[in-house]
Amino acid sequence: MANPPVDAATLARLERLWETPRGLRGILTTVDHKIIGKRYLITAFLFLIAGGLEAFVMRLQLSRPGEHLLSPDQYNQLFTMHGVTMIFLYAAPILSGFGNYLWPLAVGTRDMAFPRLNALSYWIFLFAGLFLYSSFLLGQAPNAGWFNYVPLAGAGFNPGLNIDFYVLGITFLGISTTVGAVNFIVTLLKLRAPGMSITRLPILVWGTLSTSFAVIFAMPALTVACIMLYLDRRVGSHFFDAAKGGSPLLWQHLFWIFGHPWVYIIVLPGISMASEILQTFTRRPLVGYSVLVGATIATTVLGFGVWVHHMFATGLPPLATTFFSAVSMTIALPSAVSVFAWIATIWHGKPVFRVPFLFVLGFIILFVIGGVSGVATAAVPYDWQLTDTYFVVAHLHYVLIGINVFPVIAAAYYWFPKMTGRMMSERLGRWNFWVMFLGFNLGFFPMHIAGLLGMPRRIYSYAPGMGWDLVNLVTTIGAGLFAVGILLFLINLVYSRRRGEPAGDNPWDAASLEWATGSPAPVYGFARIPHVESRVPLWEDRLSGIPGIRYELPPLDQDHETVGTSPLEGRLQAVLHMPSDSWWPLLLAVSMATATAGLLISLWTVSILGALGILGSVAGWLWPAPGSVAP
Amino acid sequence: MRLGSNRFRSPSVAILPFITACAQAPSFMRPAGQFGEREAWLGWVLLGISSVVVVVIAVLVLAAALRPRAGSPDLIRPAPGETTWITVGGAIIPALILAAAFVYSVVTTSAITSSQPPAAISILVTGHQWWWEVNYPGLQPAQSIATANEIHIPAGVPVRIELRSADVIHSFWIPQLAGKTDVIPGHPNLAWIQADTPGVYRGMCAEYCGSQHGNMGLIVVADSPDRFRVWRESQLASAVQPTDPDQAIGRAVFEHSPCVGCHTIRGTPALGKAGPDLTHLASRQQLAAGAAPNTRGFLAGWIADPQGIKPGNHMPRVPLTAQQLQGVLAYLESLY
Repeated sequence: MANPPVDAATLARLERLWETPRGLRGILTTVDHKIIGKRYLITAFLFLIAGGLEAFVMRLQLSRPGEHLLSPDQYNQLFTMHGVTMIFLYAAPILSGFGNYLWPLAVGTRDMAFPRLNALSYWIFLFAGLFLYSSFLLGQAPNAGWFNYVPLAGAGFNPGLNIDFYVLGITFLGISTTVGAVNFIVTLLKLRAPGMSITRLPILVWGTLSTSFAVIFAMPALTVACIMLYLDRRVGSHFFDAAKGGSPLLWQHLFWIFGHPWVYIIVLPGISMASEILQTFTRRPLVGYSVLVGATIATTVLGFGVWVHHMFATGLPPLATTFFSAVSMTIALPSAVSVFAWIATIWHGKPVFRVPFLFVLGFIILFVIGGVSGVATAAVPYDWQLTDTYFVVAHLHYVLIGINVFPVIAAAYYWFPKMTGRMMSERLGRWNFWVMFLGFNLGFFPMHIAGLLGMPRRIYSYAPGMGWDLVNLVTTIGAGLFAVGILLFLINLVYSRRRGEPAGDNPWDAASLEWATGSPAPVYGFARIPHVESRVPLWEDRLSGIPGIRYELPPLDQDHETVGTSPLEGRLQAVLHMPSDSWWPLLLAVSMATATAGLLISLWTVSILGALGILGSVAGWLWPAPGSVAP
Repeated sequence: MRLGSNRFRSPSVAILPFITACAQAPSFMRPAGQFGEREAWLGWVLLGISSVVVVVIAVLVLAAALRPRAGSPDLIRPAPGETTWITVGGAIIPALILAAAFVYSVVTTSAITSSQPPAAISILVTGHQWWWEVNYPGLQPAQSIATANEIHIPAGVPVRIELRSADVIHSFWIPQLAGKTDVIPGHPNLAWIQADTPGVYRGMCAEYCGSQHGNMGLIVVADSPDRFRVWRESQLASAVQPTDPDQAIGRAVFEHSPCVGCHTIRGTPALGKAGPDLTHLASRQQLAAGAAPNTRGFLAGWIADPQGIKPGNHMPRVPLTAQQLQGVLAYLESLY
């Protein structure tokens, strides 16, 4: 049923049309969403390991009072880069990786809407990450926290290059995030398989779809703030300088107008992946699909109205704090609704306890713990006590590890067969889950107590006799165990890549479209683009006796083509000619990196060179290919 | 810190033994005055509800996953009534709980703001990288007190703290007495604290403020009204005169060293403002914003090598011979 009969000559033609050239040229010019997706996943995971090592060194420093492993300045650079790495270089890009790899397959098309933009967004991510990390080579890594509050981040108190790395790196990276979001939105609205109306979307895509809109509205606040800070530092403007009529609080508003929506941007796609996996392993369509979709959208929208809860102690008037407190509590409702949709699905389903499902169950528990501690911080007077203590550190790690890392590991186990054609080891996977789950809770639960005991965040050491020794020692031990869990995952990846059981097209007997094609997914995605008749296309015939997919379209094997459909109903509208391999994305990214480096070291000639490169690459990119008609 | 004097009776939850075991910790869950108590009560209620919610949901998830099932078909078809879970458990009950929590939170805020009388003792606290300047403004300069990293208050009454920053953003926090208030340049703020019983309460900077954020502590000493008056009188006085040759040498060394560029000792030519006022240094319990206790040994170490105790802080090392150092120590230790 799943794979349509297509003759070998057609498959060979499709293969030739879509394959990436071998060798260096192919590596540097490919626009294949599957290759780009895997690059995103691997790069983001390497940054997770870097951020994890930074965290582990900090945990060693804090394992006992008065430790001297790190100097204060080293500690401050480490905690800043830990946050920057995890938030910007791991949490968002890892989700882009899954999105890039899975979306075209899950919605039944052959590539992202803008394949070259997709390559560009990866290259910028890579270069921005390397740019930020190159600061360590100079011993001048960002050191004012990932939130980078002024005036501590201003030139007066921070004259080195540390903060320039931050503002330029983040601004540069923002371009990647933004073009990525545009690509997701257009792919989803225009490239779905015919028949896949908006109500038949796999739950997988809703998180990234919703948050891609959020990126477009949130990212500019941070970009603008970073540019203003660069001007304050280098050009002598006074946006944030209280002595000259500027306002340090302006930075906080701009930062958190970006920052809180960003929290949802890096968790909602994780939630959607978890829902997708949950559906497969409960052996039934989700209970409350529309409720889950509504909750995703509601959270995204409400996420723009909660930023002041990061600023309850700044002395804002009670009317303002009360409003933001109310919204911050309200935003718990969509989460509560989602949790009960999962419980209902499990209750009314027939769970199969494979490793991805274990990680999803773990995710639900951690999500609830992180959620209720979030409600505590939404209550203004209690937040005056909680804010900037280890209670908040515990809260945010329950949220980010619980709702990002756990679904990401679940997704890795779940989609590994689709990416590689092999299963990951189930036995090692179970060890992986239990070590990570127990290690996480052992490490991070005591942080709540450290907070209640009055331990503030971001201190490089503490004196004996504060009553914080035991909780910190336990936290460090738990963090070590958690790291062992991550190591088991890495071992499983490497082992299963070579030795895993062959997977077959649909090893989990899942319902969604990506399982209707080969494993690993062929370069052309689908030999024939399917017509979709159901929200659970591969299950529909068994649920209702009506086939969930039909194959009516020709293979489109004469050119580099896929189909365009209408945004809501998914009606067939056009055959789209898709771009193929190109040097321009890489050249554009290199030019942008050059311009950024010039701004860092104030070598204007370098920046001008970069700017000329940008103009040239964009011109080359947009130059009509010979024989093509205008778009 | 006086645990026995706590009026607060907190509900018992699983983590309580942990907290009482750490009796020395500056925990806001063991508050010592009305502001801290209202916040802590709100906290206990929220944490109590949270614990119940987590346990109930964990049980539901496990029950849903592990409940015995009859041999059902391969795939399960949707059936009517399955969304009842979502309506009741996901929407109605959480909405009621959240509404109640919100109301309690707002009531707490207004109870706190309504216990801030206009006529109260007012103390000006200025955050510096990485110490706290403390001023008790008087009608005339002679009636003003300047000290550092140690706030004395009368027990049993609300005290107003006016907050200013001299450089970056800090946050003023005495966990057992009240929540945090940020100290922001160009943005004066107010905080209120109260200690019901005499005692010493530890506080600290709670907003990351650079290298030595971790060593920016302060203490609040709550005294009986009589003792507070005595303390106040003693602090109003100018610095004592040297009474022995060592102290006299020390004073002369001090007054001819760069120290006077940063420190004030009232009644002497030392008028610097960048560092703490040292007029009554010997009366204080701690040095360097809590980085060390105020003993002769630590004072010597601090003066001889400030960067050793608190790396990155703004106090330079002033080269002194051993004899000069002994003199300066003798002098500073006489400044009660």
